[in-house]
Amino acid sequence: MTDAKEMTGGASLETRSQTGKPYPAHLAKERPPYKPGVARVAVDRFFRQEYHDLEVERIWKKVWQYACREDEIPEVGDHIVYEIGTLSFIVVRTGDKEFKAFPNACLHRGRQLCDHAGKRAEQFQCQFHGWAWDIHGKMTNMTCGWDFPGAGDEVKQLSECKTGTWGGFVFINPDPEAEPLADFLGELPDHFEHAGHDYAKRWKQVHVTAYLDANWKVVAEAFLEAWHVTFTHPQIVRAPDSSAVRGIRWDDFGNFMRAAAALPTDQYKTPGAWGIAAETDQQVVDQHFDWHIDDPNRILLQPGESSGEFIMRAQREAIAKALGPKIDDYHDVHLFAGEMYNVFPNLHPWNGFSRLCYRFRPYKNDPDRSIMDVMLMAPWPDDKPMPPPATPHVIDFGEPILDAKELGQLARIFSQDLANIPYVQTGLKSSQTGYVLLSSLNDAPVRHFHDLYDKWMGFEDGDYLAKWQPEK
Amino acid sequence: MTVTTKNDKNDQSPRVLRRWRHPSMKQFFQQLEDGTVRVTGDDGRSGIFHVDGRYISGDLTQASKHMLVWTGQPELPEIYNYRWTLVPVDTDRPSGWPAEFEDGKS
Repeated sequence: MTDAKEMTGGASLETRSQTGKPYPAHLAKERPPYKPGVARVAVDRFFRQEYHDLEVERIWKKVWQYACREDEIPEVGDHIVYEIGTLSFIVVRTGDKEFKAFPNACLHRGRQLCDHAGKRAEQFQCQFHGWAWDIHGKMTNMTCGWDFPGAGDEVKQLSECKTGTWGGFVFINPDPEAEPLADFLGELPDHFEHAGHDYAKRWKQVHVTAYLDANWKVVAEAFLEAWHVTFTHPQIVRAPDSSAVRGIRWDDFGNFMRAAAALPTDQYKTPGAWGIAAETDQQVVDQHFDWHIDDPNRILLQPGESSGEFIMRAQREAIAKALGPKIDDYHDVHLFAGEMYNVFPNLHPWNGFSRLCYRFRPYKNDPDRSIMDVMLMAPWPDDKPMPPPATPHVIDFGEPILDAKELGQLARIFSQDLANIPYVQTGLKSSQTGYVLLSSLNDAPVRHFHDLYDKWMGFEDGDYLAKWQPEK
Repeated sequence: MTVTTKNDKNDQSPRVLRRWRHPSMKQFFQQLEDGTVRVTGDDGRSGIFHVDGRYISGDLTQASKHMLVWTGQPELPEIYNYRWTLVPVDTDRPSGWPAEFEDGKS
């Protein structure tokens, strides 16, 4: 039986907050379990070119997707090139809170209009023959226009993608018929903003872009669920005692799913099967801070001090350096656990102060490769100017993620994940059954992802084994 | 049994740098100076492995690949050895990073 000590190393989430704050409402309410039962997903979708091609048409040309942060293009005319799979888009700031996005292709001969990010652009001019459009997409130059009789109207305006913002993220959707971003995100903004975690007030302190030898869904799945921690990250599975092993609850909110620390009142939490009772509280502290047995930096617990209290205090002190007294506005659960959010198809911002945010993208036209972005979103005070956001530190194919030392111990943990990911991609192609097997509770977020994937791909609901058929 | 960081006086094997204990398998994983990892089980058997999990020598021939990665990969520079929830910030500096990250110590 688990209790409210879960995830805190001994400090109760629900009843014992150092700040005496009530438990956050958005976390307290449990949702029914997500479609209980085992599922089988055909392995084809992870490596067949036909799936990749269809994803471009039915997902990436249709879905809301995070392209950049607002503060990455702070001035009018600032722009980035957002690439996903075979697609390329220009995303440009056109006003104080206005952004536009265009397919990155000249309407003449199709060359990319823009090769890289830039500042204060007044127009995007094709470097092939010089045709140009302003940042609103209106044509400003048609070299030798006299040579295109009757074609002027079809090139006078670039076609626009839909754009929207939330939490400092700029989203685009290439589909002119797409629903508004707010409808797509549903309750998501409330979960962050009502909890005092407006992502627009976070500083993107670290950004690592890793190019990986696996399909983007394989990589995403390695981070969608939590129970791989048992075997892949054995150094961090100790809990203070046998009754306080970790339990997690997965709540479905349509286009996103959330993992939250389970409460004693919850019915559908994972039973904490992947926690291992520590022999001493000191072991819990050691693993939390990655102190090895003989580590000279190791700090020993004082008599009577629990690991939970120690960890909470360290976390609190660190965040107080950034937020000052405002730290008292938050319940302890924000300090310690953080909730993982999986926003379909590829954005994963964590709530609380865990700082993590992931994005997973297909790489060009290759279903065996992908791009993973890892960002650390640091708390920042309202009354001080926010530093410029981190530019991506690129880890190319085959380079060790440990080179991204600004990730701190996370780089060491990712080394373990990356010791699985390429081997999953290879193993799937030798599958004996032709499918992967997904569990009822621990794999609920992976099943949730594939249900949405099937919906967007146009497969029948629940038909996990659907094979893509070429359209006649 | 006792597993220490000290090599026996006549032991010519590489020096032990760091040690971890696997929480469920109860094996000690020792990072050795030559870049390999020594794993020692409760039953006294031990083996030497590459960081990527390949067996090199000894009577213990299999061990957790992920614990080998964890133990054997290079150590982070001290100023970067932080938990991701505790990445240091300095709100008075334009860069947001504490000074030591820009003073050549990284």
